[in-house]
Amino acid sequence: MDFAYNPRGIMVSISNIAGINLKETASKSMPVKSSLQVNFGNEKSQDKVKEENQTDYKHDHTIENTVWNKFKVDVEKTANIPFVHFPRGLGGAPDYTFFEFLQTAKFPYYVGGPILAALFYAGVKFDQFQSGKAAKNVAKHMALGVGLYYLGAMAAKSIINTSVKLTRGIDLEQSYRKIIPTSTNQTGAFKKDIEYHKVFESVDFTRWDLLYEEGKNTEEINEKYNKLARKYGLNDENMSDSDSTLKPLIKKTIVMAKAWQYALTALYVSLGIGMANQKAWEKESFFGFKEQIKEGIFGENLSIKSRLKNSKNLVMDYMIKPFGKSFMEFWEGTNKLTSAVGKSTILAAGAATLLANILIIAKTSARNHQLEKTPQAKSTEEKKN
Amino acid sequence: MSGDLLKKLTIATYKSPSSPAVKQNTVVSTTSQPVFKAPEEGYKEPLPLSAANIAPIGMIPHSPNGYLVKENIFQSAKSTVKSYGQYAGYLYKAAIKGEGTDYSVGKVNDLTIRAGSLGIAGILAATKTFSFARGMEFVGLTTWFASMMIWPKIIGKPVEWMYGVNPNLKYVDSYGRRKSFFEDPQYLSWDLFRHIDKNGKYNKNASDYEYLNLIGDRLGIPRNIENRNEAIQDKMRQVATQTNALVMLTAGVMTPVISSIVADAAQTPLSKLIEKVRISKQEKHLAELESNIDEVLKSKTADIDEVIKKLGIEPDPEFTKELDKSIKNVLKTNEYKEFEQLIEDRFKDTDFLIELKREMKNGGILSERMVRFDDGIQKELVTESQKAVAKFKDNVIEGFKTFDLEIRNFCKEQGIIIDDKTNISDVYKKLNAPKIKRKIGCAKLGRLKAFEKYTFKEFNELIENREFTKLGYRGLETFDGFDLKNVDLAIEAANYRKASDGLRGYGPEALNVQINNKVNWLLGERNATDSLKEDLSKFMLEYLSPTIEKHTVKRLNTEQAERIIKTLDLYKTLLAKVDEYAATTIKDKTGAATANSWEKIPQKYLKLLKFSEEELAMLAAPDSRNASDLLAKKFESLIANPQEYEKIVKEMTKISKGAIFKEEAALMNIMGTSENPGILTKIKNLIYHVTSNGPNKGNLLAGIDKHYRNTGVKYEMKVKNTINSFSRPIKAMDTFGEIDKTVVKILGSDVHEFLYRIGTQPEKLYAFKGFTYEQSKESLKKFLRKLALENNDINNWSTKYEAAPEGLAQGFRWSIDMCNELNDFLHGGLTQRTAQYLPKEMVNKFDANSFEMGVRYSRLESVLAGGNIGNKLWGAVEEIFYANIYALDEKGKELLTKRVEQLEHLAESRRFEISEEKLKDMRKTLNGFKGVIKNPHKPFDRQSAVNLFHSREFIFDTNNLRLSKQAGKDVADFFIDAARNVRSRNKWTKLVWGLFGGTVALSGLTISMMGKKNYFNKDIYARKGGQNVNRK
Repeated sequence: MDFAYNPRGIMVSISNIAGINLKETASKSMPVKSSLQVNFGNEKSQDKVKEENQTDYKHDHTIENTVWNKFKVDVEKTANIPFVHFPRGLGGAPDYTFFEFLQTAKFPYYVGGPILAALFYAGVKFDQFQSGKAAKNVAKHMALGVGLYYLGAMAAKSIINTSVKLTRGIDLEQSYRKIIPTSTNQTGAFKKDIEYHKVFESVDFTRWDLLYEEGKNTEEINEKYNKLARKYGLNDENMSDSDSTLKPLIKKTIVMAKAWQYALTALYVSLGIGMANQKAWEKESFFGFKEQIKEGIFGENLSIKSRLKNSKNLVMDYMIKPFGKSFMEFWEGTNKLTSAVGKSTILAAGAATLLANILIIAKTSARNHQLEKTPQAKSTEEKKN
Repeated sequence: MSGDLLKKLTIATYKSPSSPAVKQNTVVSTTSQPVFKAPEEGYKEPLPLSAANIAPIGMIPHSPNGYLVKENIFQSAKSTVKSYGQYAGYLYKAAIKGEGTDYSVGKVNDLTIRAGSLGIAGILAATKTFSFARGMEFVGLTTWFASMMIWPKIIGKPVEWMYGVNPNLKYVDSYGRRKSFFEDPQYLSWDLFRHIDKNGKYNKNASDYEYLNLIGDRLGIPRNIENRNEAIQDKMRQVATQTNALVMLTAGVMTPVISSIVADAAQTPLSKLIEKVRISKQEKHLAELESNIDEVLKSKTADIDEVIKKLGIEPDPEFTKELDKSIKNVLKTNEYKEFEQLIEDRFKDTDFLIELKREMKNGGILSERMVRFDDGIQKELVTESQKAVAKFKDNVIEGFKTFDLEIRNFCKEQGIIIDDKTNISDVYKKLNAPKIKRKIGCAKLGRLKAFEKYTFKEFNELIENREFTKLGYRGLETFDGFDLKNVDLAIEAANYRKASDGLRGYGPEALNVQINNKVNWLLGERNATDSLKEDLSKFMLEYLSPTIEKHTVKRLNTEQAERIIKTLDLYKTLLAKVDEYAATTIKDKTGAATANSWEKIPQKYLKLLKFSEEELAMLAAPDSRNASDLLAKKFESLIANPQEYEKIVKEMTKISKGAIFKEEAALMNIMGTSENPGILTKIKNLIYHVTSNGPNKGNLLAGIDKHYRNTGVKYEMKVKNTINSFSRPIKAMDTFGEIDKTVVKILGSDVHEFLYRIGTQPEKLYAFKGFTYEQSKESLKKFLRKLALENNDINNWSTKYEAAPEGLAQGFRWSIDMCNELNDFLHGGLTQRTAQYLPKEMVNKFDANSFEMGVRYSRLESVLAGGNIGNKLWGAVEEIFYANIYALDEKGKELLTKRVEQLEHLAESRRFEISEEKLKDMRKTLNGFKGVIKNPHKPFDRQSAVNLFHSREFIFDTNNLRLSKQAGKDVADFFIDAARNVRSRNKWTKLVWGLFGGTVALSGLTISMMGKKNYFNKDIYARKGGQNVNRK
């Protein structure tokens, strides 16, 4: 059939639609670096990359998990929301992806809460009557609640990430750089050739391929899987086929970790809001806050040492201490009901965290699963016997 | 495009709810073995899908049974709710079993977000004291979620109308999973549009893409082009992607905006409803309580347990448990401290804690500390005293050893050589040299001198051999502590008596004195020095103190203690119930009736006065100087327009009447009158009844009475504050009508009269001396306007009439006549001009309260006593009761009667502060005196009357908290704050609606540009036959 309508101007193949970058699926032209794209320490130098580009196709690859790299990825991802994803989405780019849709979905999440608090504050009346004061406090609590909400959500996520990483060696936050060979991103203002995804973000399409190493034999190729296998409690005899043994267990880990992250988020954000609503954050507790900043940090004739000291005190007095105090106030409550609510929220969050970790560790351990042993492993076993 | 289809394991097709699944188009996908080989070049349309060209080898294909969802809003809501149950199942499987897919885990996220939000609302609601605020938390949450759900639909509708594309289209896949059709633009199940007819319904006889082609027409896709279906699909995808991006861009603003608008609209009706429900619920509770109390009082039972039971009160189990645990006949040190702490904590926020403590002490319920006396303590004291002396001796020896070492070290530093034979006297001499002396210090040197007859070796031997006498501790060698006899003697001397219960005796202090004496006496026998006596006895007491403390106890009359604690705890519980009622009615709490009134009434008043936008801005300005001028103008124009004046006065009265009556009714329910006692009075009577029947009562009754009166005063102040605040604008308008008259009254009607008065009343009109009549008139007018509008609150009491009128040099502080005239102007009753439009009861109410406040300014004492005595009724009452009635004409008698009436009003207004008996006496006395004014021959005890009113309740100085709390709001401030609130509200409305309008406009503009040819979508079409055409 003759060419009729093809707005993209490239070949479409099954594998790139499926998100698998096989050599033969590469696009005709190599992707150009986006204006917001960043370099990573573990990558080869630009020249070398260019050199490789001429001879080989560019692959998706993982990004070394350093704090700096994470920060850079976050900055780029965040900046791309207004500068790349929204313009492309509003333009209705034909190669607009689900990833981009999800990225834009973060925007209302971060904007909605603060706007609500701001609208409430704008509605506070100047009445000298008690309700006026109370409303001002409510607005402050609300703004603080928004902050602690995000903090709670972050805490829930990182607790599970940390324990999964420590116990199973799986870094759920492991990012990789995905090359997007699509049509409209090649030129112009809103080009997009990179997406930052997480290796373990999908249960159905986990990027197993990124975990393989280059090597001659299975041992070398499966190096990462072998390491993980030990973390999962597998004995050495099964190492020759560690990847296929592990994949179902890793899938299970991802499912459980995600489910618990979501469940804990619900509890932690409730805890955060509960704490934000305590007296520890009210004006009385913040007496002298502005003066401290004005005089103690930005005041005249102060040594750097004392500025630093005052800043430390400021953080201590107005953030850490009220945080601790608000936790205790939430625990104690002001009456039977609030005390019960506070205690049960805190205990539920604590118990759920504990349960999450116990379950994830217990259910994903290879020792708790009957594993089919590979013939090679069997022969090793026989030898031993 | 074919990739989209191949990605799916099964191909879903439209399934009508009534039609069976379509089975013909089965397909199997595989990612490892592509079904279609990528073409070498160009683009080829995918082959039609059929079992014939996609042969599933070794696999049985699934039957595709997906379908597009067509639901109305209610069906959609129902499906959403239903799906949450399904999501809970996903959560269980994922979190507990570790089973799930991207879809199910994603749904777990949706579920937990909703659950988390409910949790948040629950926590916020629980921490709010009032159900209105609680309710608002849920209203807020509901509106938030509703707007989150509604906004995409609001955006989606015009898109659908304009382009025929429903961006919120949903489908159910072959696994029964509900998904958004356009969520992932790269994987769209276009096959679900097959056999959908032009009405959007499944029809197997319809041509393959009938509906799609129809949408294509709406989208303006040329008909006569190659591969039109795909062109339509891509255009639909473009529109849907654009809509989704627009929703995401605007939802962050629109969700809070819509939520705020809806919640705000719900607030007023909700607050009214909740106020009504809460008050009626509380009133029901109080009525039940009241009838229970009546029953108990009728039954005359005074047994506290029985009373509690009859009242149906559930005592706090935690406190009861703690109390049971800590109530014992004998309380050891820790135990009585805990017991006292328990009481302290329980009653710390009440007025009767001090009285309770006093009653415990004075009523002999809880004894003073006493040493529990038994054989045990005697033996322990003997052993411990011996240990103490041994320890003391060790300390002495250790002290000498240290001293020796210090001297040796010091000498070494100074180069003074010490060996065994060195005489201490030689070393002493060397150390006594002025320079060294200063370093070592006199104390050490003095101590060394005491041993100058020894060598260092001999000195060390004295220490080693513990020769205390030679070391200067005469008597210590032979003293080893007390024996049993010594202890017995000390005990006897301390007046302790052994008793069978081992509890007779005094506090540990008495025993300490005797132990001290004993040590002194025993060492005295051994010729010890005074300093040793002092040191050892002090050491001994410290050493023995834990032993004595161990045996120190307090006795508790458990029965009495339990009774009074339970009684007061019941009182506290009952008061909490009254407080709950007060919190819904007259307490300054968010959501209380008074708070709601204060929220609305000032704004209603403001609205009545019809201020323009500019005038409102002026009123609300941070600099409030122009505010009273503006109000003055407004009031003057009203005075000039009687019809408008009548309307406004009537309206204001109507508005304030409701609020005032509500608060008065609440006060009446709480306090009542002597004939018809309120709930608090009944509670007080009940507790009085229970307490009076017990042996311990004096202090308690005082405490209960004090609390009762304080509560009465507190609530009455609040009600009067409301009356004063809401009536003052009416009174101010009335006063404005009197300004001209008052000016003439004070200054005279013309220049001649003015000059005459300046001459005859120099003190009163001193401030106007040297000014022309016109100047004075103008200045006084301005002053009176200001008086009516400003400085009416407590902050300006002491300077009320002091400020100099504009243009004059001074105020009227020293002119008693002038002050009283101004006070009558400001605090006299409403004139007929206004009173005619008010119900009589409102006039009386307003006048009485205005007068009471006026007492503070009226300087009664000055008028009648002619002296400056202070802000008391002292002197004034002498003048009233010692007035020479025979010499008074009718006018004088009238004035005197008025003063008596004022006294009467003041006495009544202090009904919660003055005892009942005294109040009765006052009423009787004043009535009697009224009779005397009419008939001076009647016998009357004048001095007793004077004494009766020389009461501390009649001190009206600036410290009078009572008056300060009921003063109410200043008229100018009242309108300024109302204007600020209105302005702030308008600002908020503008902001919220501005955001709303802006976002809607932006969305409209974006929608109008959707589906158009643009940078990303070039819209190049090939006409059938091969010629390219550009889309129009």
